[in-house]
Amino acid sequence: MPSESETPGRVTLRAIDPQSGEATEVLISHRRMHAVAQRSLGQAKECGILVPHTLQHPTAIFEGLRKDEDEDQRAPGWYCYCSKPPYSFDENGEEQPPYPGQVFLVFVNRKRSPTIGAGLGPAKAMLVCLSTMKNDLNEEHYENHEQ
Amino acid sequence: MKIMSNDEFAKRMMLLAKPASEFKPSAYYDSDGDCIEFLAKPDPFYEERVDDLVTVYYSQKTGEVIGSLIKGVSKLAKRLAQKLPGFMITIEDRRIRLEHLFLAGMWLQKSEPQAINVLAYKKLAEIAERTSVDVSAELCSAA
Repeated sequence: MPSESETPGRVTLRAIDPQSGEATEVLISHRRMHAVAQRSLGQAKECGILVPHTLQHPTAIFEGLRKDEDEDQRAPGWYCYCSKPPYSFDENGEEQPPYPGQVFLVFVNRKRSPTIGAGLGPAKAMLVCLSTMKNDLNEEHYENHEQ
Repeated sequence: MKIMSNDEFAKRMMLLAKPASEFKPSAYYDSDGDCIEFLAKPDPFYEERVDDLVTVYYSQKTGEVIGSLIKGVSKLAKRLAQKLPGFMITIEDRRIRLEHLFLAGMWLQKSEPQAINVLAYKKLAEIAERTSVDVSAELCSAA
């Protein structure tokens, strides 16, 4: 039975609004949650713990992508939430030290169309698309782009 | 809309979780991101962009290629229909084998691909073939 915090097929999470710095909402689909959780306990924990951490305590939020051709052709406008979590998880879900020289990234797109966002609340509602991505952005690049 | 608490979300994820020992290679189409995510092993991974179509996943444990993200699937499907109409004959039982998508991605390159990118595509096609992973062909008809 879906709880109150669920729109059909999606769960609402708290996040920092990249524009205002105020609290906002981000949606993640049940399908996405299920797909990630089925891989391993570690990836389930990454999504369950590190994604909210990154959305709520980002060290930086980037707007747009560095390569134009990577933009979603259906509707541009990605946010990339970055954090340096204090730990990581192995495939068995055991807590491990963070990976050196890597940041944890969560990609969020803006609401693409009224059909997707209908009844989902504020117009700024966003969708988590790629919830557990890591990248080895180097420290210099990272610092230079901090917001 | 009530926001789910962090604790509740973490608990929900753990309820859905399966141990790594039960992992099966799979590909999953994410309609929100218009991408196909392919994973052949349950290892934690980091990623590296190859080009506008493919991002490769590397195991944090071994450094080997264990998966990928195919981006802009709608656009890819349109280009396949226009430039490689014969691609449709590879569809069986409304499924597309993932290695065919990687090969098609290589064939659709606009410029001469860099050797390193070719290696990544070939490696991904090899892993996809070995693990027999496929995705729904409805992605192509939706373009």
